[in-house]
Amino acid sequence: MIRLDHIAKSFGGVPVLEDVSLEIVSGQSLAILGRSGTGKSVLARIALGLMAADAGQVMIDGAPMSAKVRRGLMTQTGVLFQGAALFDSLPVWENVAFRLRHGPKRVRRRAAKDAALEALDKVGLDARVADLLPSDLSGGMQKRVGLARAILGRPRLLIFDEPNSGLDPVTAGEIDALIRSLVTDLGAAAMTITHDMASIRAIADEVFLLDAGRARWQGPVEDLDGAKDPLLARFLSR
Amino acid sequence: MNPLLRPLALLGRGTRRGLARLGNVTLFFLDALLRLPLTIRFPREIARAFLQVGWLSLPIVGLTAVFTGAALALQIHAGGSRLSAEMVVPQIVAIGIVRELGPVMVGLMIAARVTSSIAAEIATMKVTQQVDALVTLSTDPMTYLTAPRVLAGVVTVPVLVGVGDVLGLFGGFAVATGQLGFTPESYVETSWNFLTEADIALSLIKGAVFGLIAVTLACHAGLNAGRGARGVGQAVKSAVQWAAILILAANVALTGAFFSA
Ligand SMILES: Nc1ncnc2c1ncn2[C@@H]1O[C@H](COP(=O)(O)OP(=O)(O)O)[C@@H](O)[C@H]1O
Ligand SMILES: [Mg+2]
Repeated sequence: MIRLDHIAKSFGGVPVLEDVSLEIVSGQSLAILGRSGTGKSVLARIALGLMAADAGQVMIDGAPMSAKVRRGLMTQTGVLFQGAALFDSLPVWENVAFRLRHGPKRVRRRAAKDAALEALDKVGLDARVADLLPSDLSGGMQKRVGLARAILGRPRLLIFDEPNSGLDPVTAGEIDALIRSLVTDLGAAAMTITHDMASIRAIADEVFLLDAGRARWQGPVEDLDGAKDPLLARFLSR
Repeated sequence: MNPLLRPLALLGRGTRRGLARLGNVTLFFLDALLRLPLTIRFPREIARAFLQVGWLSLPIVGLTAVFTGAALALQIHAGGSRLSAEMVVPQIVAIGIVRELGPVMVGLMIAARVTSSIAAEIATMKVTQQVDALVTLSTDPMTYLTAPRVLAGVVTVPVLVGVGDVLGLFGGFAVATGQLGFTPESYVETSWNFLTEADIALSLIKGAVFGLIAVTLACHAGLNAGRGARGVGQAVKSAVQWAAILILAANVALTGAFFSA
């Protein structure tokens, strides 16, 4: 579904990503792990074509990223940004149903709202929040609204930037289960950025530890415990 | 470098940067024009833009115009009396307001009020990744954010200028009849007979151009904002400053072009 080849990116001469390659096939869930500021969010933006890499290539279904490829990709991609990135002038349900109300394929208001309520229910939010503005919600609730917006429309590619940050452990567990079921049921490819080891074990098939602009450790989730890497060990011991 | 030359070097660099920006903004503007037909997909955004640019600017535009017209009448009366030409107040106020001060004052007020609010709104969306979110939801930010506002700018600012002209004339009329001893009927008649259709056309054309400048620069600065709160602040500052300068420059160009034609 998506492949990154030797991606490099620096800002103002400071390298953030030096040489990153990874691939996610449909039905596979990859977790990206790494300390704050190592460039995980930058990597997600490059994967989506929202930011150009200095070197390397992003391939989508075998085609190199371009404006046209990106447009096609966006019709089947769900993204949760690290800060949720909700439209603050629109009520919650219109945020969730944005694609249905404003995108290329539109549905009626009633049907859009129903779809939004269903997506909100999946992330554990009840219908009462639907008419509130994003600014009326806590950070964790905003995150869940962002998640509902991302999963609406049965996407083939899911990119989640810290979906569990700011959530209580119970809700976090439910979100993990949701992400896992999206991958299994829809056969989607998922890339989830997270610091939470419990969540990685619940959702990931593959794990990618990013450090100093490169893959520090990469492997199937079953190999985590046998891994010898000291940095990974420190993540695991938390 | 010779320290005495440093200001010149700064000026040179500033000019080069200014020209580069002008080029970018021009391309951005053409891009926005291409999206205008597509923007009918977003009627609510268009309505919001008309409200933001036009309707909500009416009070400030009206007040500015009334005060300007009143002060202008007083000045012309005082200056005219030195030449025993006090009687030209209605004529000079009429062309002064309609050709120059009406459009320029409205343009600058729009730069202060509308350019700043649009730049701040879009820059905030940019730094909080709402603009990226639009892209991931298959919605083009130029069509969704820029085009409706450009449309509102080109349609509503001429209307605001028209209102400003009328209220500016009223300001002059109020002072002239209330304080300077003109009779209402003759003041109105003299003003009206003196103005030509061309004066009014120039006024409204200026309004349309100033509206385009104010809104286009705002959207451009917003969508190109840097990071964080600082990025928003920078975007607003540079949009307002450049809008004011370009509006004044365009005013000279339009007035010049009009009289050479
Ligand atoms: N648009 C940008 N301009 C300049 N620097 C940036 C930009 N985006 C990210 N960075 C820098 O890149 C580094 C990695 O950021 P990020 O990907 O957000 O880290 P994280 O791994 O915590 O998600 C940080 O040092 C950040 O300051
Ligand atoms: Mg991040």
